[in-house]
Amino acid sequence: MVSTAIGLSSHIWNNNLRCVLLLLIYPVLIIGVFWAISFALGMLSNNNGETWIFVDFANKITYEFFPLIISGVSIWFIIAWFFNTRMIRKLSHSHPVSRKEEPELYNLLENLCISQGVKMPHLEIIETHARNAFASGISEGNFAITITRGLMNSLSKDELEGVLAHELTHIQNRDVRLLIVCIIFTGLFGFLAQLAWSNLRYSLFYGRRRSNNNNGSTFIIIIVIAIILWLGYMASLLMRFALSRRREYMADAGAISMTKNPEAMMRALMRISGRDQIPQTTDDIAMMCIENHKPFMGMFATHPPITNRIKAISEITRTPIPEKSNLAPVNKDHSFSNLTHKKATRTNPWLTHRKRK
Amino acid sequence: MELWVILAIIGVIAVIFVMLYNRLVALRQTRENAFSDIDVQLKQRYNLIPQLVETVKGYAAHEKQIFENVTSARAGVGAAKAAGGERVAAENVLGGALMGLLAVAENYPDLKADQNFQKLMDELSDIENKIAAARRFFNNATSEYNTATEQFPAVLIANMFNFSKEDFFELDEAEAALVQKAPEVKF
Repeated sequence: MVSTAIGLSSHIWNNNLRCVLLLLIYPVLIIGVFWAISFALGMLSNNNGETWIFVDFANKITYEFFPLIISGVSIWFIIAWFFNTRMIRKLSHSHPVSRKEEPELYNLLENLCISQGVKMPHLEIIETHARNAFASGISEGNFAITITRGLMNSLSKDELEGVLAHELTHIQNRDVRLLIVCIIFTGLFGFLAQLAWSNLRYSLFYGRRRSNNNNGSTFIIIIVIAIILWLGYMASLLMRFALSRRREYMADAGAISMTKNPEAMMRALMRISGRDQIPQTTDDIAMMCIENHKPFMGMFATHPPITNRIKAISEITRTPIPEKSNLAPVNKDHSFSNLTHKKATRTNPWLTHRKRK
Repeated sequence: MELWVILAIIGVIAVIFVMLYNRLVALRQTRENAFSDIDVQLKQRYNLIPQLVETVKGYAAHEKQIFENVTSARAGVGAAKAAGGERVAAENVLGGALMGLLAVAENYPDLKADQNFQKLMDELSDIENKIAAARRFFNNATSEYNTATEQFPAVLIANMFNFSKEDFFELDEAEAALVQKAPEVKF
C-alpha cells in the first residue's frame, strides 16, 4: 500500500515534469522545422552554391522570424488552452449533460467526487453504441468526463462507477493535462501540414491551365515544404510515445481504491473489450479513452491489452477474474437523447436510433 | 568558519520547522473543509425533514410520539452549531429519529404508495449516500491529520502549538442501519 502511494505521487510529479518538458520541446521542434524549410528553399532558389551559404541563409531567416514563430506558437497555445473543451467536443461529437437529464450518472460521479473531496468535472455524453469513456481538460474549471451512450446502456451501476472512478483518477493524476498539451501541439503540425497539402492540390489543379513558366519550381517548393512539415508531424507524434502507458494501470488502481470494488472494474473492462471503437473520431480522442485496441499507425499500441489489465487487477487485489459467461445482461432503457438526435444524425448517419421521416 | 557551520545548521532546522508547521496547518484546514462538505448535506437533510413529517402526518396523524422525537432531534441539531462532538452526536440522534419515522411509514401501505412520499424518500436516500461519501473523505482527512500530529519531529511542533488529535465522524449503529435501509434510488 505504501509503495503504491509513493509510486502514485512520483507518477504525478513525472507527469508535471513531462508537461513542462513538452512545452519546451515543441517550440524547439517547430523552429527546427522552420529552419529546415528555409534551408530547402535556399537550396531550391539558387542551385549553384556551397552548403554553408544555405546554412547561413537559413540561420538568418530563422533568426529574423524567431519572434514571429514564438508568438505564433504562443497564440495557438493560448487559443487551444481556452477552447480545448470546445475542440474536444467537436472532435468527439459529444454534448454536455446536466443533473436533470441523467440523474443516475450524475449522482454516481458526484458521490465519487465528494468522497475524494474534489471539484466535480463536467459530464458529457457521446450518442453512439460504442462503449468507451475519456477524461479531458487542462485546469480545474474545465476538466470533463465523457462517456458514450453505449457504455451507459450496457454497464451496471457499480461497473459504471468503476469507469467514472478510472477517469477521475486520470484527472487527479494529471494524465489528461499532459495528453491535451500533446494534442494541442501535434494539432498545430497537423494543421500546417494540411495547409501545405491543400496548397499543393490547388497548385496542381491550376498548374494545368496556366503557362508553364515558373510552375515547376513552385510545385517543387510546396512539395518540399509539405514533406518537411509531414516529418515534423511524425516527430511530434512519436514524442507522444514518450508518454507512459503505465498510466492506464495507475488509473485502474486508483479507481479501485476509490470504489473498493475490483470485481466491478474487471467486469466493466470485460464489457468494454472489443467494442471500444467510437465511429468518426480521431486518433487523438482514441488515445485518451479508457480502452483503444487499435494500434496507432499500425505499430504502437496506445493502451496495454485489456486482458493484462484485468490480470493485474486480479493479482493486486487477490480477486478472482469474473467468468465471461457469468456477465449478466444489463437491461436498461436509456434511449438516445433527443437533444442531440438532430446533431448526431447529421454527423453520424450510422446510428441505428435514427429519427424516421 | 565554525560560526557559518552553526548558522547553516540553525537555518536548515528553521526551514524544516516551518515546513512541518505549514504541513500541519494545511492538514487541519483540509479536515475543516471536509467537514463543511458534510455540513452541506446535513443541512439539506435538516431542511427536508419538515416536508417528510408533514407527508407522514397526512396518513398517520396519531403517531404523535414519533413526530415529537423527530422534531426535538431536529431542534437539537439546530442548537448544536459548532463542528464538534456535540454536533455529531445531535446528528446521530436525528438519524435515529428519522429511522423511527421510516419504520412507522412501513406500516402504512397508502403512505408508501404516495408519490410525494416516494419522491422525498428518493431525495433522502440520495442525501444519505452523499453524507456517506463526504464522511469517508472527512475521516480520511482526519486520520491523515492525526497521523501527522503523532509522527516524530512533527509531534514536538504539534505539542508546542496545540495541534491536538481530532475526532472521526462516526455513525452510531442506528444510523448505519438507516443508511442500509434507505431504498435504492430509482429513476
